[in-house]
Amino acid sequence: MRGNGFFRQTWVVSLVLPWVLLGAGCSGPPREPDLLRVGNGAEPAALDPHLVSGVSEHRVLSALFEGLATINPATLEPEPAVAARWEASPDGLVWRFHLDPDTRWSDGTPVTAGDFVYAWRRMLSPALGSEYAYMLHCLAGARAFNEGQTTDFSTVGARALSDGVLEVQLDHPTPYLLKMQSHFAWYPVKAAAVEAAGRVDDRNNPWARPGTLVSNGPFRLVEWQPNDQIRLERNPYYRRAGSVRLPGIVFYPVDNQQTEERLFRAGLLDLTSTVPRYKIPVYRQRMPERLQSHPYLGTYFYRFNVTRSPLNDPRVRRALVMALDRKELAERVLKGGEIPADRLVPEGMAGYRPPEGIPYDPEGARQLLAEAGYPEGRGMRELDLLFNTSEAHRLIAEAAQRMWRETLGIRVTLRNQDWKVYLASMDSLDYDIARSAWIADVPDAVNFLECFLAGGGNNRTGWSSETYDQLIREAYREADQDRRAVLLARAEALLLDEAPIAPVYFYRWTFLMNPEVRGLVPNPLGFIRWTDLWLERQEGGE
Amino acid sequence: MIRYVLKRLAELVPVLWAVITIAFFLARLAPGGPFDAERKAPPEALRQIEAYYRLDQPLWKQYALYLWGVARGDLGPSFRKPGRSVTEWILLRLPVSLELGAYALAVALALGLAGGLAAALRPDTPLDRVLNAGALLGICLPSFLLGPLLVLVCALWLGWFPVAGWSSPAHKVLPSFTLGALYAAYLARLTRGSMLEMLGQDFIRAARARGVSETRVVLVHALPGAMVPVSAFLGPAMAGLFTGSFVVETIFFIPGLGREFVEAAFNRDYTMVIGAVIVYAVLVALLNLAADLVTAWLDPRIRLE
Repeated sequence: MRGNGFFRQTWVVSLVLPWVLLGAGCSGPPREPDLLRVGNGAEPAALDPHLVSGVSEHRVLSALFEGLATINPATLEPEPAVAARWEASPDGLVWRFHLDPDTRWSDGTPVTAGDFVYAWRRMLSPALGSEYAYMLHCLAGARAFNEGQTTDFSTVGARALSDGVLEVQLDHPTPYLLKMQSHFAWYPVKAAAVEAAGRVDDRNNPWARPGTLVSNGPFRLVEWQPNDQIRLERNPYYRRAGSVRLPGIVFYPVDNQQTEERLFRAGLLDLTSTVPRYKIPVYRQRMPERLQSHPYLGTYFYRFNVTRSPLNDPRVRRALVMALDRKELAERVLKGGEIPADRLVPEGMAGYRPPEGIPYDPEGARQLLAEAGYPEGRGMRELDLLFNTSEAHRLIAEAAQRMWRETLGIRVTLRNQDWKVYLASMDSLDYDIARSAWIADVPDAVNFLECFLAGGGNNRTGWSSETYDQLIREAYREADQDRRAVLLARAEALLLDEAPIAPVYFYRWTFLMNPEVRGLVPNPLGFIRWTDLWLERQEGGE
Repeated sequence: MIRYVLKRLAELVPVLWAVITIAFFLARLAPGGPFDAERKAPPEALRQIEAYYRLDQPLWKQYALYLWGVARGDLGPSFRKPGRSVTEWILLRLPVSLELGAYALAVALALGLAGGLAAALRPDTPLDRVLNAGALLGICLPSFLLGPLLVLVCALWLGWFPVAGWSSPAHKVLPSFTLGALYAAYLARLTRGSMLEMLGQDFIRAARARGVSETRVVLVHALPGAMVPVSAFLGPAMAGLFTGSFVVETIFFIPGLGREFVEAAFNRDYTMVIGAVIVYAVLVALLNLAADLVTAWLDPRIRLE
C-alpha cells in the first residue's frame, strides 16, 4: 500500500483547496427583488446622448432623460413630457413648446428652454462630430451650422423665448417632429454639468458618468461598472416622481444571447434584449407566457449592386425578387414568426398606405429573366451573395441560393465576411447581392425611403433615380399629411418597380419577459417607456 | 541574478516596439474602420470625428504620434467608447482577468498536481487509469463546451452556483474551473510523467533503502526534481490564464480584458486593440521571466547568464 496515505491527503486537498481558495460559501447573487433587471445587449459606448447611436444606449438613456414629448406605446402618438403643451403655426413650420414648470434636473435645479437650445447647439456643433446630428437637420439652418458653413447659432431655428417657452423653426414641415422628441438626439443636457467636466464639444468629455451625469428623466445614474452593470434609481426630482413605480433598474450588458437566456432561466433577468433563435420554439411550447414576440418597424432585405451587369437590368433584379419565396423563408427557415416582406416599408407607419408589393411569382420571374436575355439562366454569370457572419444570415442565404437556382437556373455563391469587412465591401460596392436591414429611427415611411436618395451614405446599391429623389424632396416640403403620404407611396412604388433591393421579411421584436413585470406595452418601435412598468413579485420568488 | 533580470527587462523594450509596430499596422490593414456602421453617419460628421482622432493624417504621422504617446505612458482615447481613455479601460478590466487567472491557476495547480501525483504513486492501477482518462477529457473538452455544460448541470439543474456574473465568491467557481480545467489536465499528465521518472531514479531507491519514510521520499526527494518541467510549463500557461479568456468571460459574463480585446478588434477600436496587445506582451514577457527564475531555483544545473 505504498503511498496510500499520501495519496489520500493529496486527493482530499485537491478537491477542497480550490473551493477554499475561492472562499466559496454559496452566498449567491444579491437579492434585489425591487429592481427591474434588464439584459441590454452590447455594452453602451457612452451615456452622453450626443455621442451614441445604438439600441442599448437608447434603452438606458430613455430612462435617464426625457425629451419635450414622449410616444404613447399603445397608440404611437406623441404625448406631453417636458413640454406640457405646444402649438404650431398653420404651415407647420413654427412650433412653440411650453415647458412643464415642475421639470427638474436630477440635482434639483429647473430645466429651462435654454437647456434644450444648449443641448441642440452641442449636438450640432461640427467639432463634436455627432453621428446622429442629422436628426436635427429639420431645424431651420441646422444643417449649415452642423456642416460648419456658419458658426453663428442664432441662424438655427431654436430659441428660448423665456425659461418656460421654447420656439422652434423648421426648415421643412416635419410631421414626425413630436415623435422624434423621445429620441436621445433631442434630449436636453445641463450646461454646468457638461462644462464642469471638460470642453463642451470634446468627444472625450467624461461628464456622463456617475457623480457628474445630471439628467431630467424618471431615473438617475447611480453606478456604471463597464461590461458588468448600469444601475439607476428613481429620480426624486422627476416632474412626476410619484407616478414612477419602479424604485430602480439594473441594466446588464450581456452581449452573448446564450448567456442572457441562461441568466433569464435562472431568474436573474426580468427582461432580455433578445432570444437565441433555436430557443424560440422551446419557449413557445413550454413557457409561452415568457416569450414576447411582436411586429417591429424593421425590414430585412437584399441589396443589388446595380452598377454591375447583369444586375444593372431592372428585369433581372425583379426576377430575382419574384423568385424568392419569402413565405417559405419566414415560415420554414426562420420560424421565429417573422412576416414575409413584399416591400420595403413595414406595416404600422401612421397614415401611410403602401403600394403594391413584389409578389412571389416563379412563372413571372422566369419570363422576365427570358425577356432580359437569360432564358432559364443561360448566359448569366455566377453571382455572389454577401452577408456578415451569422447563423441566421447563412440560413436565409442558403435558402435564397436554392430558390434562385431551382426557379431561375441562376448560380449564386455565398460569401460571408466579418462585420466591418462586410460594411467596407458594401460601401465600395464590392458585391453582387448583399444582405442588409433597416430599423426605423422614427415611425415614418420617409425614414426608410430616404436611404435610397442618390448618393446617400445608406444607399449602397449604386441605384439612383431623379424622379424618386424629386418625390422624396416634394414629400419633405409637403405640409398636407395625405398628400405627403401619397408622394411617399409613389416613391416606394418606383423603388419596387426598379428593385435595387429585394425585401425579405419584416422583423419581430422578440424577447423574454418575466410575467412578474407588468405594464409593458409592446409596440412596433421596440420602445419601452420605463415609467409604465412595475413589478409584482411572486411570494418567495426572486 | 539581478544583472540577468535587468538584462531580460532591457530586452523587453525592442520586443515591445516590434509588437506595437506590428499591431499598429496590422490593425490598419484590416478592412473597415472604427466609425463604419450599418447606418452610415453623414460625411461631415465622419470627417470631424476622423480629424478629432487624427485619422485624417498620414499613417506614418499617426504611428509616430502613437509611439510618442506610448513613450509618455498615454495609450490614447478609445475610438468607440468616448469619455474613457484606453489606460482607464485596461485598469478597469485587467484586474478582473488577473483575478480569474489566479483562481484558474489555483484550480489547475491543485487538481493537476494532486491528480498527477496520485496517478504517479499508483501507476497502472484503476485509479491511475481513471485519472488519466479524466486528464484526457480535460484536454479534449474545449471551454466553450465545458462552460455551458457546467452551467447546465451545476447551476441550472443543481442550483449550486450562479449561472453567470462576477460579484460573489460563488460566482467565481464555475468560470475558474472552466478556465483551469485544461491546464489542470496538462499539469496532471506532466506531473505524473516527471514524477514517475523521478521515482525510478537511483537516489530514490537509495533513500528508500536508508529507510526514509515514504512521505518524505515523495515530498522532499522526488517532488522538487519533478517540478522542473512543470515550472517550465507554468510560465506560458500563466500568461494564457492571466491575459483573460474571451470564451470564458463571454460565457460567464465576466467584465475582463479578454472580452474587451475581442470586442475592440471587431469594432476596429485601434487604440484599444494595441493597448491590450501591449499589456499581453508585457505579461507574457514577465511571466516567462518568472518561470525561468523559478526553474533555475529548482534545478541547480541551470545557469542564468
